Amino acid sequence: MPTEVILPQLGESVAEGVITRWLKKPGDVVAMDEPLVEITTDKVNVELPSPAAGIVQELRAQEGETVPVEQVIALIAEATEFAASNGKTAEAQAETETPETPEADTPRPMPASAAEVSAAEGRRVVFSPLVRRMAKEYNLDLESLTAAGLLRGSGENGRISKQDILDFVARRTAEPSAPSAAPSVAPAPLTGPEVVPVTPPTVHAAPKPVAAPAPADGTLASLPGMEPAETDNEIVVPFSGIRKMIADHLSRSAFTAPHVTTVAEADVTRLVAFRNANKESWEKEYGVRLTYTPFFVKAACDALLAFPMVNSTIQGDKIIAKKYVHMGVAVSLGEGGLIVPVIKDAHKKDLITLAREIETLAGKARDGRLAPADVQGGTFSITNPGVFGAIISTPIINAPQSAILGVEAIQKKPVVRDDDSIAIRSMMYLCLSYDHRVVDGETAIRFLQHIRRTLEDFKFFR
Amino acid sequence: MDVKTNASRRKGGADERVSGGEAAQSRRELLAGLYYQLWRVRHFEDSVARLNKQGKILGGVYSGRGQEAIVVGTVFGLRRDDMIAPVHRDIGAFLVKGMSARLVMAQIMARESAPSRGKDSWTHTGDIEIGIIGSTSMLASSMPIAVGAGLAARMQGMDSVVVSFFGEGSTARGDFHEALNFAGIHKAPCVWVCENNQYAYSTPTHLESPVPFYKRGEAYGMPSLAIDGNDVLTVYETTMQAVERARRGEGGTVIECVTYRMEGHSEADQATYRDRAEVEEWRKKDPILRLRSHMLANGFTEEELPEPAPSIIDEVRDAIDWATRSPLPDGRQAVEDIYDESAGVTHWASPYPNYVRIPWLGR
Amino acid sequence: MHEVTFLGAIREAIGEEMRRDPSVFVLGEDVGVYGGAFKVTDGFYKEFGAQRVIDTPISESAIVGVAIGAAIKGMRPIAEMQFMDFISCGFDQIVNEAATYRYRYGGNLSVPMVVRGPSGGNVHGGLFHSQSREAWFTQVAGLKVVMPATAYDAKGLLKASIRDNNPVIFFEHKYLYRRVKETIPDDDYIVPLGKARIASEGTDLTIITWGAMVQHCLSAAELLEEDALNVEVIDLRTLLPLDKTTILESVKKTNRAMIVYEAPRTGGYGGEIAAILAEEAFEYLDAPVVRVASVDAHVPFSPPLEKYYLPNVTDIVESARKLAKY
Repeated sequence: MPTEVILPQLGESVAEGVITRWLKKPGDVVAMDEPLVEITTDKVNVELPSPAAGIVQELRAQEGETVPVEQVIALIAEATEFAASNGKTAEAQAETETPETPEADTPRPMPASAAEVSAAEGRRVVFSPLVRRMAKEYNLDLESLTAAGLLRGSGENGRISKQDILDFVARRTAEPSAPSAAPSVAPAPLTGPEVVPVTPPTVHAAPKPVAAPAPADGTLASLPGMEPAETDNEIVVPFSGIRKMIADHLSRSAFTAPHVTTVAEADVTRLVAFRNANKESWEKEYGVRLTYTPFFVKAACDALLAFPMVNSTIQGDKIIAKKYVHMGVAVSLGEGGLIVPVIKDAHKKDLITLAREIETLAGKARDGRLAPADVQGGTFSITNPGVFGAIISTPIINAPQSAILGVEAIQKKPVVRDDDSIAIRSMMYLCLSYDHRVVDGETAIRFLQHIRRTLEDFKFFR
Repeated sequence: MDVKTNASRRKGGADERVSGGEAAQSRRELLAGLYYQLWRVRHFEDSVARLNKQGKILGGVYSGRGQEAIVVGTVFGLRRDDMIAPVHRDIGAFLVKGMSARLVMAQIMARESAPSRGKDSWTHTGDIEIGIIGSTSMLASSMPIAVGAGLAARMQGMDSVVVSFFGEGSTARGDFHEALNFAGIHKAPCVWVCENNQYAYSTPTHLESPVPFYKRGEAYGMPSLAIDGNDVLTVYETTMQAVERARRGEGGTVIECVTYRMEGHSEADQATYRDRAEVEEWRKKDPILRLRSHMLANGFTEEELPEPAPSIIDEVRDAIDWATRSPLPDGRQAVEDIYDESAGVTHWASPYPNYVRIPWLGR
Repeated sequence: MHEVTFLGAIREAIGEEMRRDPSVFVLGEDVGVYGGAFKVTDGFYKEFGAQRVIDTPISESAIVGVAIGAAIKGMRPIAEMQFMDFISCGFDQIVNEAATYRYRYGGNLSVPMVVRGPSGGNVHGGLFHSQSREAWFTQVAGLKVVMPATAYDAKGLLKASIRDNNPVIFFEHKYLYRRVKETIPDDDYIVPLGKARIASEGTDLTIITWGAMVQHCLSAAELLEEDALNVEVIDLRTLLPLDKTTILESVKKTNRAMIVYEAPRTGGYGGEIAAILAEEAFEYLDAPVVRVASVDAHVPFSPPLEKYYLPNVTDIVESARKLAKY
């Protein structure tokens, strides 16, 4: 087999060379190390010594030609070989050569990716930092959504990616029956007395089945064992979707925060009288229906500013007590569940403004038009089981808030007054559930007293 | 020039004193000048040692006590445009070359007003305007830099000379050899002043080099000699000859000044590894005493030779007061003075002087 | 416009700056009569003379030290390391002298100098002619560290480095020297230090790289297009100061990041970039940050060894696929 003469790499950076002059021509006898060709590169001019003894069989580059390093520029045959191949074309000779065994690539070690590590540890749902942030933005409960199969990951081991979230949100927007934002808690709805009472699930009643939003991608139906098996005596509804989210949220809150409920009683006779006297004029003058809710919100705001611990959040090893109030107001969605829209900076707003915002938010909630921002950032919540006739309740805190105020039904009662006379007064109970890790009993009672005094003194318009 | 603007914004800027050699009109003035500077350096360094013992300054203090004749004798005769590259025991060279006692004291006391603005202490700073090239703690590492500064001066058409100081211990470092070899080849205008004070910290000379230190210079084609480093007149005259030779373009000279470190390596070193008798022997060779006797024998009176002059006491006291009153830097300045983000404009001599032709380099 | 190799671009930058500014000069081993081991300074001795193209003894410490001395005296020296592997012999002068001067002088001194030379492997250079040591210098305040990937950038960045008032360590990948040929403008231009370049725009994944690895990453990006993966390749160009803005903006867009570098993985500059992403873009990461680098060994000589040692296009493609799938 002839010896290949290659253009050597004549320096670390040299990529090519120019054939300046051939010192031998085909058929010439060449000795080992005898100069064969003159090469010029950017760095050097050299004579290449022949790598073998024999007869020059073929020159594969012309003088003046630029050749990349390691390219074959000539073939040198052994004398016998040359004789044997004499008559064959050089090309044919070259073609019969056994190609050089290709260099086998040894695979390089790669670092174990986090995916492999978690796979090795067993399946565990891990959300990337980006996905967590997006979930917060879109108000998605990742754990519930994935557990319910509503949100499925396309990544390795079913990991949720950015694209998965974007797809989910897009589907949800396209699907009007899906909630526009996941509810953050499901306490009793607070609506004005004029709102036609419905019977949504409340914390103090066994939840009535609520229709789950139809999953847009049909994943739910395809899950094994999820086919409803209804009988005459039972209704089967999937425990998933919004209902599951409500459940998870409430369970987490109930099992995380030690709840205590304290009750105070307020004499709201003047408030009732004021409302009855001004109901119609308000609607004419301000274009807003006069309900009790803005009064409760206003009174609670004043009290929260005085008792910031009731308006706080636990974050790691710190308690963040707020000097502002974003007031969550529970609203019934009828058959569609419950939602708690938030009145931002409620402490800065007057009664009329509060009344208007409550009306707007409640309307948006019922029409399913709430934006994620409308239900985010609440620092405290009010729920109104009283609207359905409850007189005392123990609401569950809307985590991560630290307290929730239940306002109960207003009832006329005989009351023994300071001068021992008996009078008929409009009375109601104020029920405060609070996270006992953060709020002490005394604080809670003083907080309630503050609200009670505000309602009784009725100084809202001063 | 950027450097100048920066320098003049500092309080207590560079001392404008004309360097000694140019001012000395006569031998009498020369002697008086050397005597004054010897005392100036000693009084300053003794004051620093005292402040250190009082806990008023931080960081290392490397006394040049007993070696003053070397820094005074070599620097006294230099021009303002000549440069020096002193090392840790040469704080006195800063004073003689023209940095004010205030600034040197502020430097030692880590003040914001110091030339390094508190970034480092002692001789790790300098002032290129008055020709002071600072050192680092990597001994001999400023020697290649001295070569570069000298060659640059020549490229700029100047006949400035660089005096590079080094201890005998650092002649064992590669930078010493690389610098001298480079300088020898290119006849760099550098004078190499070896301060042989007998100890590299605690290591005695016979464990530092198998040959006399000055002989190392011969390997690099330079005239090399050892002189009495405690005789300020000998130091002055020898270095002035070497400086003039370098100025003429004839290359460098290695001068080993044999002296003795009267204190420990630093204020933290009691130097118990030395024989007391050896220390006492050298105490008799004190450079100030020797110059004083010489001057008394040559027409000076006791009154003319105060120990030290009141103006020196005032100068040092003022330096201490000024530096003490100067504020420490704000911690946030730790991230200042790292990069020069000004537009990259060549900041020397314009119009540009032609490169000086150097015959032995050919064209 | 004219065609030039990577090496030719470097030669042009030095030559043009020497003609423009008489304070610029070159020193190094064999840079004069011989024109440099890689012929970067070819012809300069004839044009500028021995005073400005100084052949030095084999003394890396002195080469850097002399450059520093000249710089503080107002010159703009360019010191050549025959191979950047030898920079370790001048290390003390760079990190303890050049880098600290301005700091020690309270901002009253500048050290305008460049230490440049051929770096990197893939040329069968063996242990001491193949190293990528750029990370060593990125921890040293006061230095700037530059590593171009194209001929255009090599010229513009080197000019910017020469005109910069700080010590710049300029790594030239020798694999690119004669393999890269580009058409570049005839006019004087600079590429500012501290600004990264988007070598290829993409939306799915960001590859941050520098030096010869930029070419590899661009090849990988092309292959990945077949997977419908749209890869953004960032060529850092300057490692110190680092252009964090470009990196963060890109990763905030793509949410997946990979760093490709030729130096050994451990302690490489990629680790620093990964840390910055973790600190400043955590909530934008949809997957872990991945490094593709050389193995933790020395750059070996024998071709199969060197091939195994260095990251290649296949490594980059596979890692990118994995990262995209995560």
